[in-house]
Amino acid sequence: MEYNYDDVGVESLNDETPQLCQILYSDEYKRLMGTLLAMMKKKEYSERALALVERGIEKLASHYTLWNYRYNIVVNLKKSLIEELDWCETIALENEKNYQIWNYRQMIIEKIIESQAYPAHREYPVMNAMLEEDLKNHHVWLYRKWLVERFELYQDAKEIEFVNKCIEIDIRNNSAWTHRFFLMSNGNPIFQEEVQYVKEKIGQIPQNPSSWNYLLGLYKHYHQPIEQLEPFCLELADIKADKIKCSYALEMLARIYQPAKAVEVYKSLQHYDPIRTNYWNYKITSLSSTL
Amino acid sequence: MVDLAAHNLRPTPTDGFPSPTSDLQIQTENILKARHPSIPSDSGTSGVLQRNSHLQFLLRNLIQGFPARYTSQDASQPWLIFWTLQGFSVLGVSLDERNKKRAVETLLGLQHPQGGFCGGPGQAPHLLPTYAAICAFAIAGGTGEDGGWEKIDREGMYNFFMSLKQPDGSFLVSYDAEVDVRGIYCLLAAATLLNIVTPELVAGTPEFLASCQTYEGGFGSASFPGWALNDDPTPGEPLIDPTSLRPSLGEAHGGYTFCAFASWVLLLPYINNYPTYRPSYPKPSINMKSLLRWLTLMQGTEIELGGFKGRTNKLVDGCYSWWVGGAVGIVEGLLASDGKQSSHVPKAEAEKNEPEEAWDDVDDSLYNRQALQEYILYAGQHPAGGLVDKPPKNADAYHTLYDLSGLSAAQHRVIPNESRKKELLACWTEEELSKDKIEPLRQELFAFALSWLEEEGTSKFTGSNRVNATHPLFNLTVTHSEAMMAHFYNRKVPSRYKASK
Ligand SMILES: [Zn+2]
Repeated sequence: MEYNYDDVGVESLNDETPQLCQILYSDEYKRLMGTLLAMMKKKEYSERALALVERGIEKLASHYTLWNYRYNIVVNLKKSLIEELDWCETIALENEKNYQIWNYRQMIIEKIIESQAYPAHREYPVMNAMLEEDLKNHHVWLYRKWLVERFELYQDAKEIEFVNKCIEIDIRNNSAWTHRFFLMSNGNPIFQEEVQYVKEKIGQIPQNPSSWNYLLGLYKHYHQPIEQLEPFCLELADIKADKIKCSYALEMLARIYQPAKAVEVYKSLQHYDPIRTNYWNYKITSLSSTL
Repeated sequence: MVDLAAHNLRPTPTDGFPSPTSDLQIQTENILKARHPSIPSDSGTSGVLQRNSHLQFLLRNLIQGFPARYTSQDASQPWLIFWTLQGFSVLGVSLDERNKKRAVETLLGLQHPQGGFCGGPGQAPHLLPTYAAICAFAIAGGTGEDGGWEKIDREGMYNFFMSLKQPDGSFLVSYDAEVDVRGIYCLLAAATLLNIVTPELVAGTPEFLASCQTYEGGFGSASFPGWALNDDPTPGEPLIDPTSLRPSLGEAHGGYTFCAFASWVLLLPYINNYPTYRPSYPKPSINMKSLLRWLTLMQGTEIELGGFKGRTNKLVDGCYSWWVGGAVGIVEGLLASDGKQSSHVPKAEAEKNEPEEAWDDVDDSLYNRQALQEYILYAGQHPAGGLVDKPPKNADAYHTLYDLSGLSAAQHRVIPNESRKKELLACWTEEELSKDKIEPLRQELFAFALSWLEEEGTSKFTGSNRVNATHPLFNLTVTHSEAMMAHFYNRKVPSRYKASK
C-alpha cells in the first residue's frame, strides 16, 4: 500500500552551518530519514509511519532511535506482536552485525509474556539461520544466553544437543565453548562428565585454546585441584623427552608445578610460544618472589 | 607429530584436523606472511609509517566529508568526528582555529535538549556518542565563547545518566536499549572528564563490572540483571544483591574487555575509598591474573605479525591493537604503581590472602611491543592512506584511529606517577575538601586519572615512526585530558615538566 507523506515535511540531516566530517548522503536517504525524523518529532503513531520506519530500518538497521520509534508505534497501534517477531527475523537475516534487532526482539517477547505464554523453542529457527551464516555471531550467541536464562533452558535437551553439534562442526568455535560453559555452570553439577568430554576433545586436537580454557574454567568453577591433570598434560607435553605436542599442556604443567618446579616449564614455553616470551618471563619473576 | 618450535613463520598447527576456524586462519596467515618484515617487498616503503597519506585520508574526511557508504554511521556521527580528530592528535597535528570552531559547532548541534549527545541531529541521546562527543570537545574545544565547553549541559547529562541506571549497578546504553559495558565505559570516561561522578551515580557499578569477567579471564558484554534476588531485603534498599554470582553474559571479547577493565580502573578511587554497595558485602574484585593471561594470549604469533585477536580462535585485527594491546598497557600501569605502594607488605603474606590479585614486581613490557608495531606498520597501512583491520580490506575511519592508538600504546609506557599524583592532590585545600562530602572523591578521581604520564626514556619505536602518547584510560593525549579536567574541576594544574624529574 502506498502512503502519502507530503504533509509531514522533511527535517534536514545536515545543519546549514558548515559541518565537519559530514556524511555525503544520497538524496533518497536524506528524504527518507528527514521525513522519519519529522514524524518522530510529532510522535505520529500510524500505519503510514510504521511503513516508513520499516523502509528506514531496512536502509540503516543501526539507527537506534528508529527502533524506539517502531516499538512505540507497534504498542500504540496494538499490532500483532507475533507478526512483529516474524518481521524482525527478515531484518535480522540481512543485518548480521546489528545490536538493536536483538534487544528489540527481547522487548517484544517480554511484552508478549505479559499476557500469554511464549514457547522459547519458537526462537530456534531464526537463531540457527543466523548462526549458519556465521557460527561465531556474537549478538546471536548473546541473545541465545538471554533466552536460556529467561526460559530456564540450562538443562534443555535441545540446547545441549545444539551446542554439541556446534562443537562437532567446528571444534575451535570459542563461542560454542563459551555457551557450553554457560549451560554447564548454571545447570546441574556434572564435573566428571565434562572433564571427560573436554579431555577427549583435547586428545583429538591438542593445540586448541578454546578447549584448554574450558578445562581450566571447569576446574576453577568446581574448585577442583588441577594437580589431577598432571598425567594428562604429560602425555601431550613430555618434558623429559622434550616431546611437546601442545603449548597449552605445557602452560597447565607450569601452573601445576608452581612455584619451584615451574621455572623450567616457563623457560620451555619461551621456546615453544616465543611471541609471549615477555609474559612467560613475567611469570618466572612472579614465581621467584614467592619462593 | 609437529615440532612446535620448528621455525619462526610456523603456521598455527591444525593437528591434522581442519575445521572452519583453521581454514580461515590458514588463509589469513598466508596473506599476512607475505607482509612479514623478513620478506622483501617491492615498494621499499613497508615498515615506515606513511604519515602524509594518513593525514590526507583524515583531512579528506574532515573537510570534504565521508563518502556515501558511511551512511552506515548515520547514528554514530560524533564517532566520525572523534576518530578523525584523535587521529590527528596521535599523528601530532593540531587543528587550526577555524576548523576547531567548526568542530565545536557541529558537536553542539548533536547535544540533546535534555542532556547527553545523539548519534545525529534529531536522534535520541545515547551513551556511546556522548563519550565520542566529549572527547572530541577535549581535542577541539576550550573555554570561552567559541570553545563550547561551557555549553555542555552537564546537569542534563547527569540526569540522563541517572535515568539509564539499573538496580544492579549497570546502565542502559539509551532508552529502551540494551545494557553493555561499552556504554558504562563511555559514561564513566565522560563523567570523569566533566566532573559529574557522584557516589549515587556509580553505586553498584564496580560489582556489575566484576560480574562480567568470564572464565577465560577477559570480559563479556554484560551479566544478567536481577540474577540474584535478595530474599530478605532491608526496606528501602535495592532488591538485588550485586555481589552474588551472576552468569557473565558473553564471550570474552577485546572490545568489551577494554571497556570493562578501563571502567574498573577509572573507578578505583571510588572502589578504594567508598563503602561497598551494602556494608556487609565484601569489596568487589576482578581477577587480574586471569585477565592478563587472556590479554597476552590474544597476541597472534610471528606468522600473524604479532597483531592482536579480539576473541579466542578468531583472527587478528588492527583495532585490537588498542582494545587489547592498550589494556595490557593499563595492567602494566597498575603493576608499576602497585609495586611501589605495597613493597612493605611481605610477599608471602600478600599471596596467601589474595592469591589471584596480588601483583608481583615487573620491570618489562608484558607483551611483544615490537611485533605489534610491525603488524600495524606492515599489515595495517592501506597504500592509499588510512589504516585497516587486515589486508586486503579497505581503510576506514574507525580502524585508522584504533590502529594508530594501538601503535601509540605499543610505543609508549604511560603509567601512574606517584609524585605527580601528590602534586595533583595538593590542588585542593583542606577547607575545600571539608566543605562538601564528595569533594574528596572528586579530588581522588582527578589526581588518579591525571597521574598517568609517560615514563621518561621508555618509548620504543623505529626510525621516523614515532606517534604521540595517548592516555590509556581515555584515548586522548595527556595534554587534552589535563586541560579539560583542569577546567571542569576548576583547578590550576602544575606544570608536568618538573614533576617527572
Ligand atoms: Zn577491527
